[in-house]
Amino acid sequence: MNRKLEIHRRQFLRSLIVGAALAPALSSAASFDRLRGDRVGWARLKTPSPQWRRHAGSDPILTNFFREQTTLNIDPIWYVADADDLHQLCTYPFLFSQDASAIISPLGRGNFAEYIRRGGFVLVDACHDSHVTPDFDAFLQNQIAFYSAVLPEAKVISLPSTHDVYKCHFKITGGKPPHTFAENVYDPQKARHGLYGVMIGSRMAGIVSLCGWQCGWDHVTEHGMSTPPGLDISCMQMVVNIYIYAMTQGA
Amino acid sequence: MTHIEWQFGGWLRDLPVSAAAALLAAVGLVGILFVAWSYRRSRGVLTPRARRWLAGLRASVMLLLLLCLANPERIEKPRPPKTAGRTLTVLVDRSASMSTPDHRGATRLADAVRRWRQVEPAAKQEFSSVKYQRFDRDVRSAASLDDAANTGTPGDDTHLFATLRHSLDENPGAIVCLTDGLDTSDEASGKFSAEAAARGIPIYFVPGENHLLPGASVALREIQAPARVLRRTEFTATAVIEATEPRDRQLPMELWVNGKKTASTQLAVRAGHNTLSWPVTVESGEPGELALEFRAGDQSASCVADVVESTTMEVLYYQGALQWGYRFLRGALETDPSFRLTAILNPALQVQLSTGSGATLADLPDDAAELRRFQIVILAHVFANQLSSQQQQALVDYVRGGGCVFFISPDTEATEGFSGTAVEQMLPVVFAARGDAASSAMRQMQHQLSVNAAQSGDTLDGGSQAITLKPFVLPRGATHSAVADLFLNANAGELPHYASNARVRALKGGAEALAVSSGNTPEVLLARQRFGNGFAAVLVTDLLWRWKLSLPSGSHTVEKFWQQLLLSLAPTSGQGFRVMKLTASATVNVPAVFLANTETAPALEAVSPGGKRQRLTVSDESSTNGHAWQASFTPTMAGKWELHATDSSHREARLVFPVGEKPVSAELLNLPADVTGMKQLAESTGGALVREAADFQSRVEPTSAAPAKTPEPLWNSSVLLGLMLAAYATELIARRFCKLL
Repeated sequence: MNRKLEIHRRQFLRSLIVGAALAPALSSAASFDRLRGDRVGWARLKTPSPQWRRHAGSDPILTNFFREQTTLNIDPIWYVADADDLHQLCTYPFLFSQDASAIISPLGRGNFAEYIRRGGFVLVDACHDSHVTPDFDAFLQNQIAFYSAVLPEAKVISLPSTHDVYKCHFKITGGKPPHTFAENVYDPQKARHGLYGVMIGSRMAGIVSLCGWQCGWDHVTEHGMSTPPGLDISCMQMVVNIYIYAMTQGA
Repeated sequence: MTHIEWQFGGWLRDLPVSAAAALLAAVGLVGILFVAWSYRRSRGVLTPRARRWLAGLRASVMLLLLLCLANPERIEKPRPPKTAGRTLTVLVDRSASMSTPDHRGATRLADAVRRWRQVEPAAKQEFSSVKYQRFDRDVRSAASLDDAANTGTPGDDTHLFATLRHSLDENPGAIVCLTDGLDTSDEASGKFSAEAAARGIPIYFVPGENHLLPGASVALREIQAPARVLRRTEFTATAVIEATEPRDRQLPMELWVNGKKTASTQLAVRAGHNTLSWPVTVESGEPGELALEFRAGDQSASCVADVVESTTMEVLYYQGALQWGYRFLRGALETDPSFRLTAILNPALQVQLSTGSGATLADLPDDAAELRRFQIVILAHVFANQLSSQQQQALVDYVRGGGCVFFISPDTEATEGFSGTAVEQMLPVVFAARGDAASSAMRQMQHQLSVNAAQSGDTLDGGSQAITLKPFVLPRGATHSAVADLFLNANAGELPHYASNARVRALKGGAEALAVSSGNTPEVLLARQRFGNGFAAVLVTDLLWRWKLSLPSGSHTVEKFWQQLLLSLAPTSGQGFRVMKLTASATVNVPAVFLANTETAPALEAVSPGGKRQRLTVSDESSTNGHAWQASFTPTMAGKWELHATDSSHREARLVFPVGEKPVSAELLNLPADVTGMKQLAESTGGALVREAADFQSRVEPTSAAPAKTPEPLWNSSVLLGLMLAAYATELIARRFCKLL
């Protein structure tokens, strides 16, 4: 019986680190001197892929960054939005996904399309790990094929470096998104990719990224990595920009 | 001068400080005993020293947690002036209504003075000094009661509420007012009553009564209708009537559109002085001119509105906090090209906004003239400290001049910051003030529970969030107007649903509640009121984006709702061509002044009861509030006169009004004393209606209660939370070290 109650060192340290990351967030959440709007949750799109929640344990680091750098009233913890549950999807105006094309069931695909048509926004960001994303070009083609099948009215286009998403809050130097690389070894094939917008007419309904931002700030989960100094901040700044851009465009 | 007080919050807020402290100490003691007991029964073998350390760490965590839960707050309270509170101010109403004798020769003034003389000796013992003043339109000092009651001649007007306000500003211990309770200015009693109650200074009324035979008068003061309306839409035309009646009665009203009677009603007029409005929903029909004529008894007033094929609505959207509402509102308006949206995000948000349509503005203008090109200005989730006094004044001037401000915020923390500001003064609701117990409780609840969301889960496994959307409900007795019909004609499924709302303290008198929350004590969610020549509206919910996400993508209910709401809220384009009488009571051989609102000089003509026509000379009185042409003439006989105005487009507006031999005013109509009104006002301030000596009981505290300043929560610091976490982490590490984990 007592064995079950014991905590492994790794679990203990992980709890401690996440707790430490959350403590300032809890404090600032209680602060009333900031100008915050409606509270909203940061949610991950749950798909049949076992990778859907990869790096999710470090999402509170991102939400804490949101609260420190913007007036967005975002919950410190992360939420689950199951593709098979339309009501759950529609609870969140913005969804983060590891790989939208992993949704294969007709129900999930239908829900996904309906969510987008109602005005939701989906950010897809590929993990940098070659075990998860062995081929980034193939990953992009999968996303394009997915959107073509699920949302025929949508087009996936490459966003120019002058696009507002690179300057609506933080100024992203050169209009190029930051990338994380396996073992921190520069990969020109991966780095040549900018961002891809999912457009329904003039409205942007989502963004596809091959950059692996979520890997950039994950120093706490078992999939975490050590990244060059400042890359974690750059990755979070890019996500903040996309989030704010989505908020300020018409649905 | 301020002094500091400490108070507990949360679950201890309602307890006396000593009881709360005792309870806290008791819980703390029990906790310490429990901690000590828990380490006595620990699994591993511990040295006494390790046991003490571990118990100490756990006790620290427990005590810090207890401190957070107790939620101590520091409050700064202004120290009241030492001499305040011991002076009694006695006000004597010296208006004409108080001095007019009845058939026995008795006056109201004499009656009130007689009553007060019985009370005066006791009052003098209660207060260190007694100050006398007499008033009618103005206030003047007097040496004694006799001086106040006998010196000078009776005045033509009674500014009772203004006088009481003036006296309240002097911060006396109490106020005694000898009056018949009639205020002949335009000020509403409700507004003053709320002010007086908040001041905490008791007001005692000594009523003056006699047996005068009362008279009556009715005046059609103003009619309001938009200058331009869209074809096949509905709009609201309103008549404003001033009626003074000796007893309750019904006043018949009619509206004639293009020569046909389209609406009629009986307005309930209560005894005394009344200002009534009759809003009527009118169908615009096909393009052309629409002549509207309101009739009240033997009076009538007409105006002209243009019905047009299409129009463009310029919307200025100003957002003070980052939130998702803008995305969905913008999407809703972009589906109709007649809406042109210009958006501004508060510069402090450091967000560069790309708007799909309309010009860009860096910040909200300081000048109302720059706002005039917009039919409606939306203030979404704005905080009071984001708007400078110039920006607030520009908004007020803009609405006064015929614009519409639509204030939207679901956040009590944000709305209470507007309490007492210029923006709040024009809005249809009174926000809870910072420091209100109810407001604090609401803020705490909002903070802890956020948007009505049930949350579960944790940082490692992810949470789930269930948002409950609540429907808008129609208020009881909702009246028909273009905007109210949005809700009255909607199916249950088409009524908006919201996730969170801010709390308002009260709906202002004359404001229209359009939607409320469900439940036994419905709260106002959407309201509007006329302010000057424009409208101010307030929506204290989120921007309904969760409602949009909850509806099927094929539904256009949300788009339709926003578009129709904005169309119905905005005064379409100023006021229709009309002529107004500025002289309250037209009298023989006294000049009467009139105003017409056209761009170019109109032709004005007065027609006597005998049919004699007289052309009037007009002068340009246009201002930032709009175009205005003024003219005057002197009626030579009593009876029904007409005034015809014709503009450069040959549109005609008409006014029919009575001219009397003597001026008619509420002051001279021998209205009965408003004893009920005086009683209600007195009791709302802690005073009383004094008919005999026993009624006068001083309830004055030695020091008046001053409002507390913003409490500062002391538990809410990262240092405290960090300490707690550090103690907890240290205990865990120590337990691991001692092989207890």
